[in-house]
Amino acid sequence: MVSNNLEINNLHASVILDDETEKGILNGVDLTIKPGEIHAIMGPNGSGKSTLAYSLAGHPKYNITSGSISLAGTDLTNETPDVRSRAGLFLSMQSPAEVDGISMINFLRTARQAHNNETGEKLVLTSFMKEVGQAYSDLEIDDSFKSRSVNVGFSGGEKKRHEILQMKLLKPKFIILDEVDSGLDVDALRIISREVLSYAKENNAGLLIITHYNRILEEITPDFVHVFAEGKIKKSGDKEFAKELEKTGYDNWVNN
Amino acid sequence: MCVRTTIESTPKSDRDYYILISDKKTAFADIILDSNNDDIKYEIYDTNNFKILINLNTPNVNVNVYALYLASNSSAKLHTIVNHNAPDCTSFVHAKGALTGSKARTSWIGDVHISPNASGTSTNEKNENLVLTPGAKAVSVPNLEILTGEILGARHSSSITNFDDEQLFYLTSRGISETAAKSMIVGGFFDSIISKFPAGTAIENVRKTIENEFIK
Ligand SMILES: Nc1ncnc2c1ncn2[C@@H]1O[C@H](COP(=O)(O)OP(=O)(O)OP(=O)(O)O)[C@@H](O)[C@H]1O
Ligand SMILES: [Mg+2]
Repeated sequence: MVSNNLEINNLHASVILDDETEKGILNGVDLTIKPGEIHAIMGPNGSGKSTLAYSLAGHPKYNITSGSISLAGTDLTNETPDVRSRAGLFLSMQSPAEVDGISMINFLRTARQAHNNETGEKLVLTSFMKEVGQAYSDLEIDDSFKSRSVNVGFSGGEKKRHEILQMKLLKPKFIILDEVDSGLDVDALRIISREVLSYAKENNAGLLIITHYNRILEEITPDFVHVFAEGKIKKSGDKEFAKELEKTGYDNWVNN
Repeated sequence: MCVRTTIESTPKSDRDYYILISDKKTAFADIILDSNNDDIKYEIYDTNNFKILINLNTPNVNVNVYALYLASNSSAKLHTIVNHNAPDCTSFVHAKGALTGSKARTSWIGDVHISPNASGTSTNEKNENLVLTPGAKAVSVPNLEILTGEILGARHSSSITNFDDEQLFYLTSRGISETAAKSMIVGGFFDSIISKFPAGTAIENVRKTIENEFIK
């Protein structure tokens, strides 16, 4: 039977440094996320959470040295980022890049067109523009942002809202949120949580939330909470585990 | 083409110049210059080596120079000279260059001279270079000489940046293929210059050159 899960098996990855040497970061990550499940990962700074997120998305700076990633039975371990995205993986980034000279709307349309080419679904411009307009109003962003260069000069919160806007328009099966809650004001956190949760519920999407705070987990209740340290998952629990972690810190999970 | 006026209160006249430099002759074909005008002189040493001299001898003239140079494992040189000899003129030189291939070399020299009687001058020089391949080298030299204390403004900026892999990752992580993403990024870099060029110029050839030589 072919599963619809996101499967991460014994994943080892290293970062390629500027002098071309490599530094091992992930030391055997095992995680299965089923459609509709909500997982949270918490862990100390520098433990490799973003490295996990980037490795899942196929960032060329990170080298998967062993283990595998598969989505709905398709092996993605050696695939390029665009293939992974079109296969249904979406990463909301901790610090999204700015790209000058490309308007947000042109970017959104090109990305969506690439996804539609994969499914064979025709992109009707008028209905897509309506969808974009709806997404802007759902995320409570002024739609004058459509004509601005991708992320250029956006505030931290505006960038995060646009990450979630892209999520809505690209319709992924699995969503990784890398610190989507960091630096957000209360309203933005509420809006983003609401949009992520309703999207995941309506589309039965799997969710991996990387965070330092319980706030977002009060809005989006996780089914599983994992503590991540030294490049791997050290222990897993339910939502109560997140509260315990916030109280006790990570000392129990770090060896050195 | 050049409207001259000595009356302070009238709007400034506009003269725009467009320069394309590449070792592809087709791309070079369309320098739009007003050859009957004594205030402008240019020298072409080779298809990829160009000098333009603009003398602002009449008050209240506003001149813009939009230049684009491409070096694909080759060299490209541009020298722009703007002499502010009369009061109340403005000049804007915006030059963008892109380099691909480890042997690519470019240089831009931008001289702006503001003479003692050129009070009320406003000048801005902007040079930006995009390096797509390690080993390619861009040189950027703005020279500003100001001989009067009564100018409105004199600015210059130059930048040499490497192609940003983080931008490429960002676009590809949204499902856009690497080739298409690269094309968008390089196109985005040139957009602020290309969008200024009038239709029917060699722009289509430039786009093709960019597509063929700079994005693969
Ligand atoms: N591109 C890189 N160049 C050099 N070192 C890197 C790079 N990416 C990650 N690292 C190193 O790998 C380790 C893990 O970094 P990572 O960003 O994955 O941590 P994190 O768990 O996301 O931390 P935080 O909670 O601060 O976001 C750190 O020691 C970091 O310095
Ligand atoms: Mg991180």
